[in-house]
Amino acid sequence: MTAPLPPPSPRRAREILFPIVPYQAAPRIAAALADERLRAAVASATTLKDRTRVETLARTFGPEVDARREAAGRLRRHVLDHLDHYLARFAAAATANGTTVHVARDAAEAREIVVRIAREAGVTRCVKAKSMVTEEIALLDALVAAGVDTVETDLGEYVLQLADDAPSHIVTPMIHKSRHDAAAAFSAALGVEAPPEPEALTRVARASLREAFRRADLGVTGANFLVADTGTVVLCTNEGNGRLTTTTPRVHVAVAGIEKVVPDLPALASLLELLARSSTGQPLTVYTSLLTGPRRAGELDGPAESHVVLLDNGRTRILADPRFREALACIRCGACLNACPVYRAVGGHAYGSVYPGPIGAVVTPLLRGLDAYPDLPHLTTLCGACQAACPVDIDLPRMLVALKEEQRARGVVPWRERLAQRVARFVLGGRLRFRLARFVLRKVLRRRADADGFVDRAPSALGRWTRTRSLRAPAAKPFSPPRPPKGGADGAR
Amino acid sequence: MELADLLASVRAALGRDLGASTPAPPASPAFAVPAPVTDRAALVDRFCERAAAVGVEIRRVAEAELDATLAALGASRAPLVDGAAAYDREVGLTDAAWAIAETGSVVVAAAPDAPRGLSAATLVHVAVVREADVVQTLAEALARGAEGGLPSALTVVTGPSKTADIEGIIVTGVHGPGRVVAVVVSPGAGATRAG
Ligand code: SF4
Repeated sequence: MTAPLPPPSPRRAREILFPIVPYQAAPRIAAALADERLRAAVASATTLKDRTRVETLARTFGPEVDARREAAGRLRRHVLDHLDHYLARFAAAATANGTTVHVARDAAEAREIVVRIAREAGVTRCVKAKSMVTEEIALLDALVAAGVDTVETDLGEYVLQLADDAPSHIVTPMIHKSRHDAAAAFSAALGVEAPPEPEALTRVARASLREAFRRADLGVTGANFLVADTGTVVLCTNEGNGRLTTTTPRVHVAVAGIEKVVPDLPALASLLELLARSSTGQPLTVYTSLLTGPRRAGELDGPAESHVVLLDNGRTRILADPRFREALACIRCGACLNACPVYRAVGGHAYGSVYPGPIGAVVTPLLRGLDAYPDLPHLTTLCGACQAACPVDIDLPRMLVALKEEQRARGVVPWRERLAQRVARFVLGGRLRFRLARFVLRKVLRRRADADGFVDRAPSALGRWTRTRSLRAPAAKPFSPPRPPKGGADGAR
Repeated sequence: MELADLLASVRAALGRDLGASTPAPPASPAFAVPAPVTDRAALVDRFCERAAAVGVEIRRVAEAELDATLAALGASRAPLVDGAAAYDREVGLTDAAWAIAETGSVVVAAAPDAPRGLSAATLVHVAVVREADVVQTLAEALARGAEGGLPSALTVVTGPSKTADIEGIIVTGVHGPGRVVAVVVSPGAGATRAG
């Protein structure tokens, strides 16, 4: 008997996305804020994408942008309300096309299924397209542990795999890394010295990955959509790795969350019209592949075997809660990340999860437990930019507040916040108290203000707040609206 | 886990009885944008303009000029190769099943005489677009693709392979063809026009 394979070495990438819980965001936020280069990279990339999104949508749909978003949102919510129907329909249609449909309750079962498919097919070399759901179930580690040589083929994911780093954005995974990081990764892992230029680095990846594509016998992808009517798996990619992953390998496995299903092709078209425009400002991703079953008689390429793994992993729990059901409407475009002032400032790793940004702050506590991720609902300014950006009009701010309410109901509000609330309740409870507090605070803060009128270090409890930002000093004269005259115009008191 | 178990837990989550749902998707409102284009010449012009905007090279030719144009591009139909051999091929030639005016896309369908690799693994992808096959929207193209059943792979190609993964800088030709040429064929015998 041969010895069992050793467990995979603990990867740093794993710890970034699967931290010890309860996860504390503060250290990573502090690290991100201290990293000028990271902040500049994330801020400029997200600002550009956000602007491109707004311009593209306006140019394409004119005054109908919001009507489109709302219609797409209604469609996604309709599917969720009848998910049983559409899943059954998808499974029947896919099976009729010759696709094998598997169902996984959780991440462990999904990993087992994919490893079993690999074993039974006798494959040893896997190429993987970028997919958040495969990150969610940590599939790469499981395949490698099972002896399947697995390569990430999305350029960003490839660099991250070589550098043992983890994605920090759901669309542009290496948004936090620079060209120099990529060059260093290629040098260390591949022994290839390339100038730190995007063009040259892309050539290095292309050359190295073409060999992987050519030799691979297993292709693993996620799915952007599953079409119920036709049993089709839809993949959207720009680089073409999604296509090559489903061209030469003889086995294709698509892993998909159960929420990915859409009713039919017209519904698919209406969502695709918004997905890439919201994501990168393109009319469509370069390749939109509709894969319907394995290769057919007489075809020269394409997988001979095709599988779909439908993953629950906490999704039915979200579905069951009417407060949070709409979180499953997400089509993973990344627009809410790009629009979010918190994400822009701290990047994706601060969320300690596969799904960062506003949607991550909502779904991570729902998928992995609110008690495991108590800080996430607080990584928000509740400015509403996320919902305004969302192509399916998900009310993310409402759900962030609902999560905070849930924390209060469970009695897990931090003592500082409880104290602040008590103080606020007291101070705001009487006119005299309020005026006195305002007087003291104004005096103290104005004394500390610099020439430009900013306070860089506020005293005591406020000091934490000014550690990473400046506070504008209060005006010399407080704003006090005149008291309404007794029995005034509206008679209000 | 079996599909039946999954469906049962979904139904439990939805709080409904087994098999009680036969939904109709919400009707999509009638959108005024984009305004329908019925004139074929205008549709073809729009396709050419939008395709060029996403980085596709356009060659507008008459039927009689097609062979010479393809030869000049180094594109030939034979020999057919499978996916693995396509990696060694410089130019892949496919017929576009449809072209989409609004997005500037060409749609390729896998078939015994149209392997996937030719438009996925080659350095250059040449797609022959017949003017009669230009439709206005993605929805129309998908509807046509579904007539008689979807092929094993229907791919909507919108520009050359590209990435912006490194510092948001766009680089073309990552894994797929870095150059896409749409040869737009008009049925008449007119002279070649630059696109
Ligand atoms: S929540 Fe909306 S904006 Fe955010 S990724 Fe999902 S679909 Fe895009």
